[in-house]
Amino acid sequence: MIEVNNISFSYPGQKERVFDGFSLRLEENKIYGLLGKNGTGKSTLLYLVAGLLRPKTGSVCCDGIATYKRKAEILEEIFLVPEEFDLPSMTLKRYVELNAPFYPRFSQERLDACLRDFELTADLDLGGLSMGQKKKVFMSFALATNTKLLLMDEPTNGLDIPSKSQFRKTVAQNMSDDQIVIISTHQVHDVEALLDHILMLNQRELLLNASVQEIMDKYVFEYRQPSEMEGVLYAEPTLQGNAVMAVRQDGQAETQVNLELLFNAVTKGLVK
Amino acid sequence: MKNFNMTRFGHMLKLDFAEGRKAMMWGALCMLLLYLFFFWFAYNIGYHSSNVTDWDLHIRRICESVGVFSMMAMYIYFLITASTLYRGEQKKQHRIALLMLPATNLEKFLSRWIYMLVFMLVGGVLTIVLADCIHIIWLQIADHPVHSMTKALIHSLPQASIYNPVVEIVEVYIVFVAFHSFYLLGGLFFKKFHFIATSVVFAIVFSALVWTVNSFGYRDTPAQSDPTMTYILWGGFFASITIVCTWLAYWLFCRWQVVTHKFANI
Repeated sequence: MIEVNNISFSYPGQKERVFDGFSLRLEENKIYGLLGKNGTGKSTLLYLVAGLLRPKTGSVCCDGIATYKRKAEILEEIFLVPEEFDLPSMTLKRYVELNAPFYPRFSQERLDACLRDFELTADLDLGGLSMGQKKKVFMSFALATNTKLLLMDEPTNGLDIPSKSQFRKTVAQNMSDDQIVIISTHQVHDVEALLDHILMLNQRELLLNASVQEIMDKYVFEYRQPSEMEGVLYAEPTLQGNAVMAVRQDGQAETQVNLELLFNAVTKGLVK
Repeated sequence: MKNFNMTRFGHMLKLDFAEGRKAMMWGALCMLLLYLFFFWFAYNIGYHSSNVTDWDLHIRRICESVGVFSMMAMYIYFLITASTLYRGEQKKQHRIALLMLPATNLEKFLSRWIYMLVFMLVGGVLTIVLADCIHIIWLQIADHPVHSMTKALIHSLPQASIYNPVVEIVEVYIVFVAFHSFYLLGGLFFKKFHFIATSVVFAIVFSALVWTVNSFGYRDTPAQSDPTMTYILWGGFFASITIVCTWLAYWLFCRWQVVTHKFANI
């Protein structure tokens, strides 16, 4: 379990705090979607959770141990896929040979399965791959490490259209019961079918912290004609009519969450 | 010890060597070319001077001077290596990769330090030996008296010594390690121009040190009359510098974060 307790954080040389008295609790067997406008601190929160940043006050703990201490037994359970990364110029086999021993629950079978899903082979030379291919390889390695906490910053950036849907399938198939996955993204449509829980960040505060099921229980997301706008919380005109988010009535069927509508409604203060 | 696991440290070493192998090879190749250039340069100057009568003595002198220049070049190169040991990690994504690797800070720091040490000792010595072999072969082909640069350098040491060659070599080694740790600290502290920035600070600190020592009338102290005492005092002083700089470098390393800061990433 990840506990963020009352943290405050600001970058060196900046007076304005990114977080001030921020708290959060993340539970196992869930995929969290971390959403927010640019500069609201999504990546900063990921880095704080990973122990790459040190909060000024408060603490970020993974199973009761502060992550900023970067103890080996904690790092064995955390894997971060940053938005930008470099892979060394070597074969994938050699990369796995050098890096896998650091992760006690690393699974070669899972790596092979993920690579197959992404239509990649195991005999790759990492130096000759495109950015998208590197991302697929790195995410496959991340899933194969089987760490308790998997953090992904904009994982679908740079992936082609078929790979985005493949990404959803691969993550869903290869996630274990005790795992926590946090996906920070702007590409909400790429991950909306995957998420269990939504976290929306605004400056210094959490605007929304709700499970997808709770959202689906309360609201419906559908297209309506201008004459059917009763009970609508938020609407956006589209070619198919108005895309709306409305309060769900008794007996009304569940609809899939439209994260873009939800995000806009929440940031405009229409939903709390 | 909870902070140190031998198996994990082994994996860390393996990773550092695998990722730094190319840089190591390039460094060794540059040093080899530099030694050969020194030899070619010294030989050509001697060859074109008309008053060479004793070729045996002349070649031996060339070997000695090339040896001295090579040692100096190697020394500067090692300081550059120390100051650029974490240059790659100034890039955010490389720093993330290193910091997120499941090993303790001590294991990561020590592994990189050992990698550098091995590179310095094995790489440096092997390059000198290889350069020596190449120029010995060339001297034989050119039908010149054959002299080894390494041998000439070793033979010249006792003549250059004013006290005890062994003690002086140990003393030089202690000073060398102290300077080295100073450059390691500088490399971790400065985000750009690591070697130049550290060299500027180094020049200021050691100028101040020399000025202080002279101001306090070191010549009149009992240590000056007893060379053993002098060596012990200076040895202790430079060993303290090594400890302080290495500890500070490790402290900075432990506090590294993913921040954009003017100096150390803490």
